[in-house]
Amino acid sequence: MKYRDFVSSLFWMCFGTVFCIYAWQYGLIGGPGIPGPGCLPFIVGVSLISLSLTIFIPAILSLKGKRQSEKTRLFPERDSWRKLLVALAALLAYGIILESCGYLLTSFLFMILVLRWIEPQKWRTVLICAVLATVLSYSLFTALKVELPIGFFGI
Amino acid sequence: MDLVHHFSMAFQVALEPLNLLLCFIGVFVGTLVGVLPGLGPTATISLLLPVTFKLTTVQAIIMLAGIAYGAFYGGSTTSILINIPGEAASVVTCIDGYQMARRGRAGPALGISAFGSFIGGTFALVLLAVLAPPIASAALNFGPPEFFALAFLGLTLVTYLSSGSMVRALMMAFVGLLMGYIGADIVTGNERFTFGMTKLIGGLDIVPVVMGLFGISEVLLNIEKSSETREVFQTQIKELLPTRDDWKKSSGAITRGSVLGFFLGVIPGGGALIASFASYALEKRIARDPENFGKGDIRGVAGPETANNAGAGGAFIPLLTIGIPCNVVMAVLMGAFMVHGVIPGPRLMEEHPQLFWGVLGSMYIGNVLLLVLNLPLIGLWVKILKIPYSLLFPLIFLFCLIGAYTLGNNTQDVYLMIIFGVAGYLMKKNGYEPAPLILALVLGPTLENGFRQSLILANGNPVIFISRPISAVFIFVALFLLLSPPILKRFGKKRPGLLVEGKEDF
Repeated sequence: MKYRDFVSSLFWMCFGTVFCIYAWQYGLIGGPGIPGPGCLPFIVGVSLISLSLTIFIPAILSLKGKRQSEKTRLFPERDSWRKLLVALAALLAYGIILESCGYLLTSFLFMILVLRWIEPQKWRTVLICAVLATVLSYSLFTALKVELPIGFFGI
Repeated sequence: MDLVHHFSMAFQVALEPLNLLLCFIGVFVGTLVGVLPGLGPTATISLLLPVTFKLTTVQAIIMLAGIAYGAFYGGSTTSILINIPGEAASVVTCIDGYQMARRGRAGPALGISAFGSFIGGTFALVLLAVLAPPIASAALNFGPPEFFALAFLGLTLVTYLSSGSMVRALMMAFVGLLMGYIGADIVTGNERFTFGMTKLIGGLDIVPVVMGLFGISEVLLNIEKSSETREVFQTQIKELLPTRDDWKKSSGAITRGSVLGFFLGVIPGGGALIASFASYALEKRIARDPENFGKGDIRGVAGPETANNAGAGGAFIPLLTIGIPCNVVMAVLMGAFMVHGVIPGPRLMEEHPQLFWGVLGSMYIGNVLLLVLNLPLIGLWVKILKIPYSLLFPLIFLFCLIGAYTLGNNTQDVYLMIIFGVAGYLMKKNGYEPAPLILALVLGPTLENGFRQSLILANGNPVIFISRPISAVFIFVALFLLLSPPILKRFGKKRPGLLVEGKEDF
């Protein structure tokens, strides 16, 4: 947990710093006693950085002198990496091809990918579920008059 | 006389055939996501939001609110039958509910939780109808200092009552506030933190953020665990109706659960989750035979299940009368109001009486529908429980994706959702809860505008925050809560936070 605390608190410090720098440029003071556009963001950013430090400092102190092997592993199983990457790739791919391929085709391909390569199902199950999910969701959304993207195949 | 007039209007709106149908769909979907572990009301409301675009505001809110309170009925089913809470507010129901099921008393456990839920929900609705008008008229006099103080107190309570470390909860609240500053500054019109992206000028849209943090990230967390099979308790569910003895034993728990749950629901950061825990603790403490708890005591089911529904009803008060959402589900519901061009707050009741009373009436009818859905149809939900997660999660993904796309018919929202899905996954893995972030994101503008407008009003004199009685009280309470944990620690005591892993903060 300590290694993770180190990384996460470092991230939040950077996050806070970016906002502080921009907030400073927007102007902290709008007039005598009146806060400017950057005032509250700056205060909140500084607060975030200081709270991150209360996690960062103990983490870095306890990390000192320890070997790399003692870092906790982020993923419980080796297989997790693969599943997560497939899931992310599938999600991103959906966004990329949705508008050009249309709802029906994209959703069908997405369902096949996700059903087959994350928790592998039999091909029969994959195909049945993919078709059902695509057709039923399509009819549901069109019945509710939600406009779904139509791809270059006209579907 | 007013009350009679309001009630007749409420039922007139709620009983329109289409509204009745939408109410049914809402509570049906609510029960469904309550039954299904891995999908909670927060994500569901946000991903069904686009579906309501073509509906009127009244219709949309009737349906979405149905999901919000319906989820608690379904949640108890999974707790009792498979010892897995369908959503976080049913965590405590597992303790005694599952034990009852193992002793062959699954029927009465399900029965008492459905009746308890109904009583708690109805009680909350009656109080809502009675208390909302005076609160709203008091809130009409609120100026910027009061709104600042209220938002400040709300955020403090959310972090104070959140599960786990308060430092981390505060950090998440700060992150949410920072994200809330993205977009055009209301006072000066300057663009802030948009990093050159036109998408961000209007501010960060809460809906894709919620879908990512509560929908996608939850699935990512679930699929990396090895696929375990859920085992539904194999027993004949018979005699759903609790016996006279059961009623006698649990009537006290139900009464206390209703009152406690309602008031905990009204508090920002409170809501159904805390209500159910508090009710369980209370019942155990005042019982003459506390050793029976954990061994299938019906009071341990009746109390919390009543309380979480009363809490879910109570949580509507701050949103509908002041415009302050006190938990994540209410924050998403507030987003739904805004999408339809209605700003919930003190003027809601005056400007949209049809909406306010219609939704209230539909909630009453929804509770009756839920009782019907959950008692005779319990077999249906048990069947749904048998669908393996490996077939379910692709569907959750698909609905999130299409929900995000149809928000504005562009893929930017899809990417935004994916980014927050990954962020939520990493946050939860490292001990950061997303709930304070969402509330801060929603309350951020109220907080900032209140702060700056107050100081402009007072010509820069900060005394304005404590010279007005209401805002002074709120600010002092908030400061006390912020400073009390370190002081309590010195005396070796803990803050009454909930050290339980909630799947979703309600």
